[in-house]
Amino acid sequence: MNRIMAVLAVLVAAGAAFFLLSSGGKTESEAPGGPPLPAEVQKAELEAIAKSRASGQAVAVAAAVNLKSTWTGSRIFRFALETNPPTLDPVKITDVTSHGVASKIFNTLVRYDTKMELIPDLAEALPEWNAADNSYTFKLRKGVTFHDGSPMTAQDVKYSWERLLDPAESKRMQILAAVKGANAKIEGKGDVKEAEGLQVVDDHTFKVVLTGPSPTFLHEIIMVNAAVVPKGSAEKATAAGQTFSQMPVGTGPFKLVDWQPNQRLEMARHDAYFRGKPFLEKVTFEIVPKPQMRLDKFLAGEFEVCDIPFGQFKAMQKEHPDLLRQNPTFRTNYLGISIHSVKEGGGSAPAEPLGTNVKLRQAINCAIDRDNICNNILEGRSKPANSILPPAMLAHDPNLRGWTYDPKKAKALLAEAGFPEGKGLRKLEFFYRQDPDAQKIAVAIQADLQAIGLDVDIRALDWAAFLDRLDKNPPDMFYLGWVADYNDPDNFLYWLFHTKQWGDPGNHTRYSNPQVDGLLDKAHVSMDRDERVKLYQQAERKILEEAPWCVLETRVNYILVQPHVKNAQEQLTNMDVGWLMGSVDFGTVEFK
Amino acid sequence: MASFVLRRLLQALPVFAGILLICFLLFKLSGDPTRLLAGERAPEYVRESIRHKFHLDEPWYRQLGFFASGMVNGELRSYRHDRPVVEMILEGAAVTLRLALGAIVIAVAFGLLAGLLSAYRPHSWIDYLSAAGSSVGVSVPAFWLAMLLTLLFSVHLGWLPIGGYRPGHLEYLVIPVATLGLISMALIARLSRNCLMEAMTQDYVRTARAKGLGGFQALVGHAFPNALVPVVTVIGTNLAGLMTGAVLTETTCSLPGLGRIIFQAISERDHPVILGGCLFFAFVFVFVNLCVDILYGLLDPRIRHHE
Repeated sequence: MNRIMAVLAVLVAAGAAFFLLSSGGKTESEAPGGPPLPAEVQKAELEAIAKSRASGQAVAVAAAVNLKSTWTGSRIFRFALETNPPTLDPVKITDVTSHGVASKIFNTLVRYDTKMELIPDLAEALPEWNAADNSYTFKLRKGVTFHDGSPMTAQDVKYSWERLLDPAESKRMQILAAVKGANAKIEGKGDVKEAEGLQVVDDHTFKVVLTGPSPTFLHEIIMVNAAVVPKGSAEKATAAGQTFSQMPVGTGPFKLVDWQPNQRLEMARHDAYFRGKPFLEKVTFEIVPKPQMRLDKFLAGEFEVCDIPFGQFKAMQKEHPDLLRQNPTFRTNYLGISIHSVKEGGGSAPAEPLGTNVKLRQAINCAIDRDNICNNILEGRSKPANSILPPAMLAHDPNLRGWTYDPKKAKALLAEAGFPEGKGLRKLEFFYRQDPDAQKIAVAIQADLQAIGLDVDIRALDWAAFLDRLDKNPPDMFYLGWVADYNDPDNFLYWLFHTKQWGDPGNHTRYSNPQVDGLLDKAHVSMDRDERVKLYQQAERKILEEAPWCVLETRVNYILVQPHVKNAQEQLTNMDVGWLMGSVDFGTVEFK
Repeated sequence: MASFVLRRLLQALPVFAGILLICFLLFKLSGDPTRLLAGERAPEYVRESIRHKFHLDEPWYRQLGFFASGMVNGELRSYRHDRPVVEMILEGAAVTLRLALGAIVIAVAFGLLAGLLSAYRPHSWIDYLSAAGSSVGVSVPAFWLAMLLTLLFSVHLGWLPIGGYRPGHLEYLVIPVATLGLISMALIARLSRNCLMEAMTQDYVRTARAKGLGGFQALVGHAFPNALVPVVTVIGTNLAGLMTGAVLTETTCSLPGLGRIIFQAISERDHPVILGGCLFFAFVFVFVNLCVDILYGLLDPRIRHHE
């Protein structure tokens, strides 16, 4: 008996000991996440939250407490991330989380200002386009140093961009696809070491020769993928038995000091930052996958900024109007209508019945109540869209009215299409990506189409399966969004409507119109901004009329920002909590 | 004993091979992972270079070979995260193991205590309280309870952190451990009570009572060890279940455990990580079952294994 009890006791004790000991792995010298809020502020705020939860009422106390300034003297900016960044190696980044984190570490040659216009970053000035040899010549800033103390030169730019074009290292070669010799290097699968278009003129002059005029090249290279890293740094990391992602070196305002995967990242100030020593001492990123938990932690003072979970927007508008900031996005959400279907074993055919009947597509466009989607389902976080190009984008035409909700007209168009009240039309398939927003929108669309007599079957798939289905066997209709990578309509209209872009590259409806292709081709290589605007507006009108899309809404990005965060409202563009829009300078943020 | 353990481990090898095969088959059915890896609007040459890097452009038997050898020598790398799979799995497992062990320790301690007290005074208020508590414990969904506890202790009272995880800070584990342990605790309480009650009717207990032992001594000294065998089985299967089934609690409490890592890998089509996770779970089940079998022998000489 004694032996048995002893076995049991040892087991329980061993379990308990392991549990306790193993948790006590690492002690941190400094309280991570910064000092807590003063007790009375925290208490009052928590009470306010509790009260608002209980009653669902607006709470004046909360606003008052917040306005008293929540700054405690800490110089740590605390972010919440939804996922662990997959990589911090610029050439491997393909997701928004990594892009947002890496943009604090690295700089690119050019960047956007708060109005999303191009301005120089590591370059001294925006380069002039040289039409004679299709080149840009960048004069680089002098006195820029990397985190390791070495000075930044044109050699580093060349190294970084050669790496971006190297298929063995990079996942974003396409960014430099316009560079002369890029194709040879991409297809060379590692045998071709250098692209002839990337040329070092002297220590502070870098020349890029393109294969032809490319009005979007400077926009492409604002992506953190094209960031400048010190020459040889990737090899150094490999020699140390690590990857560049684990020990990234850049020129940015912050340098990575600690990364506990799936838990948190910590960055320290780069004292020699070329725009001056940043106010902030540290930036931390805590990984919190659940949206509601991010919000709870933000309201408890644990983060400086926060996104707003689905279903909470109205409550935040009521309770914390003073903390809300908004940015326009380059995002348009749409209902896509397959124009061509994919035949088994390759090839394509016009899709019946929607792809061959423009009146039918126009009827769908008139049947959908966009105000209902934006105001009721999306709680006002979105605006009904009249055009394909979002309002913040170059070439957006404010006079374009697009299609608006008009059920009578929809029924008339349906009759003209040869299907009065939907008679004779088969059941249509509608697919969407599984997420709470899309689910409710899909149901609303189904109801709207039902109202004019269309029988629609709605189905959800997860993201990967959804993309696969669009690629291999496109359904009659689908709900999808597009976020432009940069402020140029080429990234919308060329990418999503040109015949060359069918399927996976972006033209998921497989729309094709030679006249539109002609306009887009011309704008794709024109260096004349005004001419391009005209061409894009012409193309957009034609596309809207033929209705391969039913444009639904354009998102407005709302975030919550603590009152003590200054000089950041404009800098905290969407990418800092979610969408990728470009590189911003985080070195100027202050607390007061 | 050693040969018994060795034989059991060898018997597990086909299990691992089978899991590898099934996973591989499912990967082939679930489509091309490069679509998500390359990001949207990626041209074909980018996807091709990724395929080449991860041997996805080679015949299926060679791909299977890369998975198998990569798993054995530990060099298999995640498609999406720039890291070895082993590192990611062990990192997640460390968190999940802490969670599961904490939960089982609490469940055993409180469950056995409640069972003992209930069996000592059956049909008393203690027994009824424990029965009611167990019914609630088994019925309440863990994630829901975790949310309520977070709301009360973290948001309203501010005593505990609102989810998340930091190594070396036990306070982050309090709510998840408590909620995760609750179901096992309820099960163990009811099971140990019933086994004890049954053991108390046996002849040897009557003999013990006849020689003058008090009720409590007879219960703890004679009935308890004999009632333990089924309880150990439940502890074993529950520990394995807690390791693999902590996904909901991990998600609700934002713990970077194995469940979350694998769930994310599935939605990202990160095949090597999914495979690593499945094999790890299989290993946990094999290992825990083995431990339970060995414990049987220690607890009850009648079922001791023959060499």
